[in-house]
Amino acid sequence: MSCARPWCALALLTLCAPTFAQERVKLEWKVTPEQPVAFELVMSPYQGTQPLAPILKPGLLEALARRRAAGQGDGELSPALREVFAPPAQRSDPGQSTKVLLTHWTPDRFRGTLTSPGPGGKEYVLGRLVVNPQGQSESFWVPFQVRSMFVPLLELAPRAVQVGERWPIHVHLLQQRLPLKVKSSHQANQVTLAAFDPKTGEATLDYLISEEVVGAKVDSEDEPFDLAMHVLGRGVFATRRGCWSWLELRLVLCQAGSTQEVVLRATPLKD
Amino acid sequence: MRTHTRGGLWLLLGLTLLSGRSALGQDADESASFRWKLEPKELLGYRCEVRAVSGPKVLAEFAKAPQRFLALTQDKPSSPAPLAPDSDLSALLSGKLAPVATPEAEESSVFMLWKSGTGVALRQVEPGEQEGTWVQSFSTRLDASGRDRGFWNPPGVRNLTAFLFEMPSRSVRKGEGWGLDAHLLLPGSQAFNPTQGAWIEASEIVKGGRVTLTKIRSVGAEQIASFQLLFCEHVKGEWISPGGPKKPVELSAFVAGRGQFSLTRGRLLNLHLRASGGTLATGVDGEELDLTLTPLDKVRPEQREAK
Repeated sequence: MSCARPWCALALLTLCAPTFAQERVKLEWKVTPEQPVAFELVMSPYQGTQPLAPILKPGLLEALARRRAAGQGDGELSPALREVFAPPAQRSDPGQSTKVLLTHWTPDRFRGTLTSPGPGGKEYVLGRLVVNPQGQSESFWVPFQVRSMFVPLLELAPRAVQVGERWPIHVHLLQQRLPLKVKSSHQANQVTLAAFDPKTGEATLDYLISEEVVGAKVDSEDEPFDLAMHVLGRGVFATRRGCWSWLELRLVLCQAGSTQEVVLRATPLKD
Repeated sequence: MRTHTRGGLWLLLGLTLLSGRSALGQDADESASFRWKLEPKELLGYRCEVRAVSGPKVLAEFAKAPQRFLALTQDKPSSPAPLAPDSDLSALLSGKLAPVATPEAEESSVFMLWKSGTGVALRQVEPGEQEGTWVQSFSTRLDASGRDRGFWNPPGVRNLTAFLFEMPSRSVRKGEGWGLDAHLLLPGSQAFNPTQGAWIEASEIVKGGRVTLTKIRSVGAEQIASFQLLFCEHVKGEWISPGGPKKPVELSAFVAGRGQFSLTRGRLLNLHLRASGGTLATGVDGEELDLTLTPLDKVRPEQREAK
């Protein structure tokens, strides 16, 4: 009997150790009737020295997401990908500025508005969405474009998560109404809690979202077709204040041989 | 030696308590693992019948009471009371409601599935304008659990494949429910087609639903899982377009039904749904659609080769 206790204690300790070692982090927007959340979005063409477009071979990001999901780490990352997951200090590039405002509707539903400044100081509404505290869209009726614009900025984690945990968010980047004969397609949709600082309550999130389709258009004599959109980057969410400290995403759109690469940066707005 | 054996038992007990499962696997018969299993070169076909319901409607009574429908999808329905056993919806969910009859001569759409890598390729073909011809409606890829990987397709297509072919990606137990990658109320469904800058200022949102594993039974060597589906979406509020007057708006969509899946052979045996509003019932506002999926003995060459 004397041997049984240490066996049992050892087994319990071994099994329980990971549970105690890692804190579960709840990522939620904190919006009250008195305290809305507002942040500014600045979008500017990427002007750095490590563009992503040249290195994004078909399937590369899907393979990276699978390696990460299998716990095999990132492997040998190219300098461009290293930069996107560890963006340099905030810069103040001039660019197109928009604003996201989250206001209180009920304790578990907030109204989101994306606005852009227009002539004469007027603000134009680009999209509206109702979200829950986890940032998941409850507005199932909104157009695809509004959803794909909002979701990467607002949707956090569906449950309390530990460092290293990964989950998908409810976003689609591509939508093709033409009938396609698809030769190959790749998809990654993975957000990771990369780090958490219990002293400051700041959670670092990695974004790896990618959709690629290569094929031909069925109705136009098999004209070749290729389309890809990638959203990669990193952000720090202040869990105590319930808003982004900052978020920097690289958006890459590749279509019929041409590429657009922009940086989207979110920073909180003070009152 | 004796004490070590006891230690092993303690360890087993500890593992059992921590994992919350039976160490002896005695509940194995009550859980189901859904996987589409197709042989290389096998072409599996389904006939899909969609008919407007002219007789008693199953879903109409919920149009103004979406919360009541939503309560049916909860584990422990609270208020209002659970479904009356003699209702049409009960009959649908238990398989006692006959599908809407289809005229013999009328052609229906056909779904074809075949093995592709670790998943399944899927095509839908429909009768063409000329008699005897068939044309492709869409194609996509499913993973082994039937989840649509054709992310490039419009949401209406992804919805359809989710309701017809998506099974849970994890093993589920009898009575357990799971969600689908599907949305019912999408722009373009019903009379709802938002223009740039217009929106709904919602005052009430109801969304929910799930598929539930209701029964697992053995027929000879084959294990068959029965499941039921209940999904609803509802929004009420004001329709606001820039410069225009505010208009009241209320949109509802429901899907209910049941199906059977052979766990042993890895394929759907039958599916019977009713849909009202939303993308599954587009073009028939206020109507209720009856949808059935039944396996075909053989896919005809003109269906197989449709472009």
